[in-house]
Amino acid sequence: MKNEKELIRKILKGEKELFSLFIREYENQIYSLCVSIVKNREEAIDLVQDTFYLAFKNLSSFKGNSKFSTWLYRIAYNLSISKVRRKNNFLSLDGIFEDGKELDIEDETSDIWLSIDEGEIKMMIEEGMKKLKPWERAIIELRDIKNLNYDEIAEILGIPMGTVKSRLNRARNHLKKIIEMEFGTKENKINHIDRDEDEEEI
Amino acid sequence: MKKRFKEKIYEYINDELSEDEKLEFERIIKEDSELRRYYHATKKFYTSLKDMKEEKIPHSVEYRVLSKIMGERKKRLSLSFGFALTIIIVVLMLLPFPANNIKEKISVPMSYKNHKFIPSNYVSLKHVKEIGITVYVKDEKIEEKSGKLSIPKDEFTPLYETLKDKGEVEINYIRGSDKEQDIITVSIDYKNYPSLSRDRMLGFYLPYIIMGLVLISPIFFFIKRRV
Repeated sequence: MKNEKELIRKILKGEKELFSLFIREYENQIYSLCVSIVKNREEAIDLVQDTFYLAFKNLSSFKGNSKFSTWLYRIAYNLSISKVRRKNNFLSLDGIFEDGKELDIEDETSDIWLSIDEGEIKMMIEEGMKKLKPWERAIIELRDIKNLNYDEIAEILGIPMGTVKSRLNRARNHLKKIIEMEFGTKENKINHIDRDEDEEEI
Repeated sequence: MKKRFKEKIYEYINDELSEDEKLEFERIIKEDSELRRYYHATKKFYTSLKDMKEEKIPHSVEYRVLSKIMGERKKRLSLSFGFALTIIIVVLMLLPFPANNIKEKISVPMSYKNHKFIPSNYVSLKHVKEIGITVYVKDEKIEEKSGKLSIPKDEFTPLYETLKDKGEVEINYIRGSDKEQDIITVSIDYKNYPSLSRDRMLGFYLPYIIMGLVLISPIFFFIKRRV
């Protein structure tokens, strides 16, 4: 979006209705991040609303060192994570944040990928994403779907760039593993049914 | 090596590796069939992942956010207005009671002696700072006197003998004419500066106090909400 600084200056001077230009520009991007974290459309819409309202209230604190969208993403990310924490009643934090240990995800080569078609993979990715932890969904959403660069992601998540890269790899591998396991289970079921049918025929 | 290869695989697909790293990566793919298979599997997964579309918001939040922003402004404006009004009322309450110019006229026969003139009952002479006395004979101004209460009564002589501080002006002797039918008009201007006294002024201020409290009351709710 061009002239963001000028727009912000005008809004701060009192032309508050101009803030709607920011809403129109970024609401879809903010929504997709929120929904990827909270996994609930209604809650995500509320979070988008809260994000923009909070951004408006703190607009004077935006110094322009980063992109306005990065600043918005950061607000949205923090609000969404807080929402998930509240929902989980602050108990199972391990499910929300990584605990710093390397997740030992065995990433064995699986030939299943070569036998599934692209449409099916996409469906499985959608399902698999739901099983990831909120921070994993967020980081994949930011990097692989929104194509944000590592600097921006580091700023949004408030972590160093090296950590972004390692977390991203872990999240991707985790998703891949979930899909492989799901597919394996499905395949087993299909094989089991086929075997039962064969036995009945015999 | 296998682990390092797996770490680099996404960077290779995203073209984030340096030229040397890229060549090294490609060499490994060529030489190791297992890693090559792994690479193709991961590429298929990752290409599909990157191809996923952002979920779009079902309905815009523009109206809701703007209403909230504008509503906040209205609320702030009404609070500011209430606060300003309260300040004005408080200032008005603290202002000194404005001077009352009380003009009383009395017409007395020339020969009338020991006439007592009593000003309005709510004006106490202890608050009277100045007094002006004008004497007319047949509408013709013949004398005008004014002065502070502290001025010795002699200054008002020979026209007035005494000026008592009990809220009355006593005219004992009027010089100027011997004709009884002549009418002398005595005009007395008081400038009254009463101070706030419980018995006299409470009735005057009470409505303002009540109004002020009513106006201030939303601030208490606001403070409570903020807390």
